Amino acid sequence: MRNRTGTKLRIKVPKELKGIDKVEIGYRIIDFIQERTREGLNVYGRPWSPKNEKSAGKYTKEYAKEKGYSDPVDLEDTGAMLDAIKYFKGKKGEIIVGYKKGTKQERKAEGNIIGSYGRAPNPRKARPFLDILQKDVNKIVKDYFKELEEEESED
Amino acid sequence: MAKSSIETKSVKRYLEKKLKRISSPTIMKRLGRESIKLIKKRTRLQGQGVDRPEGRASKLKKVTEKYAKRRQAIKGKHRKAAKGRDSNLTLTGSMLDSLYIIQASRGPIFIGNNNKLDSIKTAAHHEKGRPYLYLSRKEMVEILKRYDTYVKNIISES
Repeated sequence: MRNRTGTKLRIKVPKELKGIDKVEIGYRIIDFIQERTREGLNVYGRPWSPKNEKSAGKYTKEYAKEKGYSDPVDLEDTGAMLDAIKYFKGKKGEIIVGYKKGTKQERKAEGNIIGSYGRAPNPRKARPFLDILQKDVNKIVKDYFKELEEEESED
Repeated sequence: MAKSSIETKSVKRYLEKKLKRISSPTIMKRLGRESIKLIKKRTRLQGQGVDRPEGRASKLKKVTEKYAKRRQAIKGKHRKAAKGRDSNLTLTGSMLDSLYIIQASRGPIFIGNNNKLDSIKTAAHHEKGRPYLYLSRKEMVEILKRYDTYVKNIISES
């Protein structure tokens, strides 16, 4: 099920993962979410929609003027919000990434995720960027172990 | 006076093992990735460069009036390209986006561009007064903080 409200994301990973491998995969998941969002893409790798004024696919006129463009919506001005995504200890077979409770960046992220921006939640304006498809997680895990194997064979 | 001897061999072995783990290639690579993130963010979003290792970040040298005009007319440039005479070393975005870890084993971490053209561009910017490929003092402190958090996360997951 997709994460449409939370500022923390629970991700299923192989139960055998632990220690440095688990943490590094968690960090790579954060890298992936940051990069995809910076490119103006949602969890499915598509631009935010609907693409009209006052909705998720475009910045408002006033904000676009300040920013210099109305789309793609890359959720990056100073970079602080995306930079604040953290790794949290999860249960066995689970990785948690997201925002520390009560921080300014958590409130900013929540505004984007539920489309509230300090007001009532609005699904048309929502940009639930803190999410990842299971197939992308599986690819990250696979690539990580492939990289390790290659490194070991180089030694 | 009473004396007691402490067997230090096993302590030494334990510490050596720990030290080996906290400087493993995976951790060094993570530090490289985090360094690239900081360099890109500072250069592209803040238009700042750093002229020596652990130096101070400062505004990048302005571009000439002639280049600013030429840049303004270019179609298909990066949406975050600087305006007016400001510089953020982003026209198409390829130079900063091509940063990668050249080497990150136990020892120094080397980062650079993954293609010749962007390497040449980086070298030219460093020569012409827009150096960006160093970490400032503040960024070094941030990297050490991130390293600390990363290692703490590993310990808590072990």
